[in-house]
Amino acid sequence: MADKQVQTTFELSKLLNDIKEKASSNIIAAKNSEEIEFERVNYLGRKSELTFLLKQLKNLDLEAKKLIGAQANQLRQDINILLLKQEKKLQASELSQKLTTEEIDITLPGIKKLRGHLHPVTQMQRRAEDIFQSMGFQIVYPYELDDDAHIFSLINFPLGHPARDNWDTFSTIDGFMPIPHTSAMQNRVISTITPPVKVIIPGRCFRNEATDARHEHTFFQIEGVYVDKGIRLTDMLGTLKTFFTEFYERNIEVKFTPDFFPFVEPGGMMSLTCVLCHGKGCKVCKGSGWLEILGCGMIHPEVLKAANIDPDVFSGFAWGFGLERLMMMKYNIEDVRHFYNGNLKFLRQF
Amino acid sequence: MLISYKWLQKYLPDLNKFAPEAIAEALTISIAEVENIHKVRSGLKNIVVGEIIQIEKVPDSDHLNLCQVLTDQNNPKRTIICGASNVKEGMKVAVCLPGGFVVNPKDPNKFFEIKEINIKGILSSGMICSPCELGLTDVHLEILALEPELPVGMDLVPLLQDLIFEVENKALSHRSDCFSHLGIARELSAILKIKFDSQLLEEYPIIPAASLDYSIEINVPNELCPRFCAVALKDVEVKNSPFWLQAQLTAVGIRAINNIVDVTNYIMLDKGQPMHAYDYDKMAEKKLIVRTAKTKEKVNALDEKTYELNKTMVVISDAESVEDIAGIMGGAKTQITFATKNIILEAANWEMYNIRKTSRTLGVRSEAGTRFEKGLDPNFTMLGLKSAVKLISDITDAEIASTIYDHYPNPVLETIIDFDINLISRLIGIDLSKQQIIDTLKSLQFEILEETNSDDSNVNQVSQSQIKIKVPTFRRDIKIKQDLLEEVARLFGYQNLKPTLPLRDLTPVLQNQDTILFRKTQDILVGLGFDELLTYSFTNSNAVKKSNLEIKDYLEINNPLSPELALMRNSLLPNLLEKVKDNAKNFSNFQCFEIGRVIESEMTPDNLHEQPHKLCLVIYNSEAENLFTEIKGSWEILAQALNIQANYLNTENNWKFANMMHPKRVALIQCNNINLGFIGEIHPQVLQNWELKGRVAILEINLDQIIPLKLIAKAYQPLSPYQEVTRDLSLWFDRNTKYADIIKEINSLNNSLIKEINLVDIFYLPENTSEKSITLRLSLQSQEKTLTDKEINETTDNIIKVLETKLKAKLRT
Repeated sequence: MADKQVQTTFELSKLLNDIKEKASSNIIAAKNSEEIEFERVNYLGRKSELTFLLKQLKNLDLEAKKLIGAQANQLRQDINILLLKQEKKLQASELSQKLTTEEIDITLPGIKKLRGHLHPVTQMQRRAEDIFQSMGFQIVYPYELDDDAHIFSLINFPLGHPARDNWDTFSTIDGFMPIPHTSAMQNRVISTITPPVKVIIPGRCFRNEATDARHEHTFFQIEGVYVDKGIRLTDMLGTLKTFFTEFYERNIEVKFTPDFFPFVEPGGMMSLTCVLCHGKGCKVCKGSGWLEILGCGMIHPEVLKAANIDPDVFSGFAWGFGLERLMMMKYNIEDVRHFYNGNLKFLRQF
Repeated sequence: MLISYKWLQKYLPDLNKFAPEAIAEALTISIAEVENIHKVRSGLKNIVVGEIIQIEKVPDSDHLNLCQVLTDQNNPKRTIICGASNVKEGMKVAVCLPGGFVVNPKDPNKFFEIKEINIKGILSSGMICSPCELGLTDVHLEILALEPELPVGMDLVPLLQDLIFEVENKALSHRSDCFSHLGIARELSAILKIKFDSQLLEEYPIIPAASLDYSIEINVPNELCPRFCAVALKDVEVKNSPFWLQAQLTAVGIRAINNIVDVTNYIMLDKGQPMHAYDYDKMAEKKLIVRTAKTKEKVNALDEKTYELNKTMVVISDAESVEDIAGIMGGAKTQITFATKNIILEAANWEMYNIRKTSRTLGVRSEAGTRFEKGLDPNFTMLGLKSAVKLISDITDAEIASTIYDHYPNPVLETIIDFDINLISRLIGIDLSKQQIIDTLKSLQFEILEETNSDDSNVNQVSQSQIKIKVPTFRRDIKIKQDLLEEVARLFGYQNLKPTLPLRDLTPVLQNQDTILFRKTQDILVGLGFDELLTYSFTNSNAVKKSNLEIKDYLEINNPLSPELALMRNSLLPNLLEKVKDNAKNFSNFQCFEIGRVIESEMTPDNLHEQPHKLCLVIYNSEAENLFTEIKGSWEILAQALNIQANYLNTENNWKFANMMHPKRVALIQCNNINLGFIGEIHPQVLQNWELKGRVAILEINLDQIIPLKLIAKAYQPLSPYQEVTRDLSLWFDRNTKYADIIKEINSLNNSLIKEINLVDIFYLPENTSEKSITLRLSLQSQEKTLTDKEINETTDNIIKVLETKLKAKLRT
């Protein structure tokens, strides 16, 4: 230790200058963050020359201590700044390096992800359900296989009535029928809910008719039933006009023309402003500007009576329409059989 | 139903004030849709009555005739070459003059022009027409012989041309009175407010001038045969109908046969009353017996078919055989032929339901049956019969040979309905004056009884609004006041109604729990990449068999559209497997699902088949070796969302789906000890049956069982501020040890520090056939403090200990 004591202030100062020179050249030569880290340890670390020198300051006299101490601290700051500068410089070049080399073809497709699809019938069903629910209608689902009483007798189709022929029913060997209309649920709905009855009945229906591009033996119908005091035919027109206006997001006019259904009196068909030509007349509406969409009418008093509702006090209306036709028009679908044939190429388009 | 514009004009002299389109629109708006307006024989031109004065052979021809034909009294005869063999001198024929048009026999919708042409050096100036060229038939016949009374030069085109309204029948199912020109005319007179000429409804007096003996027995209850009328006609000359009648019938699509049959058809279309004529001379013992058929009794009918009858069917027979299936079709033996001399003409009224049943049982649809099964007014039976007698008398020299037989035990009287005119505003939503309502009802031939005088101050408000209405008997559809409402409303014009909205309270809509469940299920599955598809509710024995399922569980349809649709589905799977097969042609892997009802053999308390909503998931992959865990992963996400804590159990041997599912890769799903359904891979045998190359994993659960379980979401766990630590444990287990048992043992420790246990890895050593290694990852965390090494090690040691003692596990080192 005694030898080292002889080191003069001058020598020490020179030593610090040497360190400074070496450090600046080495730090500037550092090519990445690892090398910078290495230089930091090398020049400022616990085992560095500078640390060693600083430890020796205590042996100097006060004046030299002041002088060399200040120089050493200055050096430490300088090295820190050098390191920082070099670091910044490297970061900047790394960044520009990244930006120049990381160019990709942004028109490449994304990585394939799986997405499922709701069946278009379900999508349309939900839309109709949501609108009707917002208008105060409760949802009740029908049975798929029901008895003669509910399908016909209780809604004023007596046994043997010729109107039954128009319903083209299937029957099972034990005497039940796949429902030909959602009206099969009407009696249960009217007889179990205390008026006001505001119910929609969405469900599958079945008709024994040959299938082709426009006809399916299976179709999805939405029935509606409204029973209360003072319900009028004009209320039915208004309710359905409101629904379809909401459904098509555009003003829809309705037209009621007479037709015969035993469960309604008066009964008829309702036509809507053609949604394709906005009523101007086109191929789909055969130039009339109207599309015949649903059967409806004032619920027949016999139907109310069969559900223990006094027709002199209460009145109501009911309707039924098929979803598939609305969808075929909306999407220009050419063949109704697509809906139930389960082809994913069809279903994945919705 | 086809309705002739010209025919309507007989009842409605002012109809020509309306364009055909306006008439069609009026009918559509107020009674039934006119689907089409056809122009009949619209291209015909310049066809007149001609008389063949002289016939010579055309030189150098073996069949051509050189006819001198008079077509205009004031002009010379014209020369026409005609190839028909039935030309005769003195014959009245239809001649198409040069420049005129006839129907193209090759295409009845086209017409061709007749020009003067040179045939073998002779100028032929016109054509003598066959019925086919006039559009009276599509059968190729020789030239048409007109009745001699027709004047030479008379223009035949107006008789042939017509406008036909095609009216949709369905809307008239309850309006038996509208299945005739009379009925539609009556409606139009009310709708268009034009005069209805009732002259044609006057009954023609029947005065016998000759006599034929016959007897009639009615051996069925009056309900089945409310009315039966008959009359005999002598010396009827059966021949072709006069030209106007043939033209009129064919215009509405009815074939002209002979004058008697044509008259019965004409009266049916005119007045709506079907009738039948029997050849008197062929009737055994000159008897008409109305009776029910004997079991398996046969009838040879007019359509040249033989029908086997049963005891519920009403027939009319002579002493030997059935000669008419009442209200539906006549018999062959006594049908009217050109040889017939004497006839019995019959008009009756039959009970509608019985007619419909007979017609459906025999599979015979006829114009008469269509009318009877709607329920005809028996008060019109006689009008029909008398009108037919009048028409036959007009066009033949027949003599009336008996008084009219009339069996009408219970005459139908008019219904009286008390009607409160306020109902119109209360139920329809329009305000009409009392006078407007009364006028409307009167225009439809309703009679107003006891009209209260509104000037009478003694009459109170209530009675002022009451009217008594007498309903004409032909309006069998009008029974109650609501029926009258429709009459007023439709004539007021539905197009004039202003839409209103019902007043309703603000009670929130009762939510359907099924809707919520179905939607949640669908949304989660769609999010997991499943496509929803819908299959028919019908399936078939082939699909059921291929799926190794039992046909006996599938309810049979009596009248399927095709054998592919002959069963009600008992499971969604057979149809879905069929769709898997179809889609496997296009996709090497896919996942789909369906929610739908299936039909069970068990019955509900209200005696319907149980028909629960089932959910079925299907995953197809042409390469994967294990789809079980794949589908289970999807199911676990769904189950978690639906708060289902599922247990997985082995299936039993007699299980319904045992042969359909892979025996080593199937499990029943239970929740709260309720069987929800099952999950697993399809049996390789079934895959072979369906010729599927890849594996199929499925899940079928009963969605209807979930809501009653009242499952609730797990309570919220406050987040711990302390560090969570994970430890992996690898142990050797016996190969048959179930993962669920390992978890059960760990859970039995009831250690609240264990937050989660996850499976990291399972592996088998080839040389070790009895064991497997399982690595578990434990997540440990305390709500109160940071865990110390000591506490962590204590927990893992306890786990190891319980697995070692209970499941003979060994820590892997």
